[in-house]
Amino acid sequence: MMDKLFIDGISFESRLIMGTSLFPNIEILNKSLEKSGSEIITMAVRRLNISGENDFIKQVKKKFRFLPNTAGCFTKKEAILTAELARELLQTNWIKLELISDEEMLLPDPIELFETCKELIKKGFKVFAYCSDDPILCKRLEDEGCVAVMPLVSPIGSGLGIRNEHNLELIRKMCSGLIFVDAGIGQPSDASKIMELGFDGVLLNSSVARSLDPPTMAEAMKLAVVSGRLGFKSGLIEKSKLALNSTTFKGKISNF
Amino acid sequence: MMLKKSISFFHQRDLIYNFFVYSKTMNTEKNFLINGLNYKYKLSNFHLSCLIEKFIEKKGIDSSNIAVALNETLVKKSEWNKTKISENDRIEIVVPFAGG
Repeated sequence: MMDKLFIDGISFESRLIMGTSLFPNIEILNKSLEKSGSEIITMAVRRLNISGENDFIKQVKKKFRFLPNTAGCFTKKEAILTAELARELLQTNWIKLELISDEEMLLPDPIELFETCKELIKKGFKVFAYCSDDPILCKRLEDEGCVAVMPLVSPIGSGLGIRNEHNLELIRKMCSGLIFVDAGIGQPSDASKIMELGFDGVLLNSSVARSLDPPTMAEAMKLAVVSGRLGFKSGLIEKSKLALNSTTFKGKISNF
Repeated sequence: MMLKKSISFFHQRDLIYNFFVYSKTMNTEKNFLINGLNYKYKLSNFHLSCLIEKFIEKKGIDSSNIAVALNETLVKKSEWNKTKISENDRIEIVVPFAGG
């Protein structure tokens, strides 16, 4: 079945985007990335550590397309400079814009985010906006020209899964462009559910990296995303409050 | 003739002054805030490229894998050797890192 994902004019087979953080070691990370089937991975930009490891990018297999992030940024100024540094460093104008409001919940700051998106788009960036699951905000970000809008389903790393399915349904109805879920996934069924709702993809990290067996969990997530997507594409049946028998009563031996 | 002589006089005076300033600054350690920490360096010239080279030398870091900001503004690699720096400038040197 031809069901390719197109982002910024580039086609991808996989609809799973993987984060690269929190893995126990680089071998497990590489094995997990391979098992996930992902073609796009996220990366951060951090200060050079003069006494430690700095060759992270060399250790990761190069076949991936990089989606740098602005993780940890609290202000427009910080996020724009981080995006510019990432563009210089990784030679890509893709940026996953994360602009958080607090350290405890790591929730996106929608006002700062929206303003920063506008600025980054003006500067030629292809913005993947990590945002809250507010349908209006998602629509506004899409209209502003973001390449993809990426609402959370629950706080980053919480593993709480989908907390507001109704909002996700509304987002999918209101936005016609690329919508990925970015944060809060805990288990493969979350990823599957998101895909069944018609989302274009899933971005996850902690649920794989912090599991007991990351490569196997990565494979489970891959299958969940594929499964959910196939389910969505095949047309889910309408829900009914009453039972609808699958085996006919016709021809039943008798009514005792 | 007189005019030429006076230009020459001023020119010579400038050269001597510049040499004096140059030798004085080159022999003085300057402080730079790099990645949030203070570093003192004696530099052969005050271009950003010289400071970066000094900072990463002997650390086995490949300059092609870093990006640099000077006083909260990105400086592209092609501009490092044209960008002047001053004492107490704030420099950020970054690398790709694991992230979600």
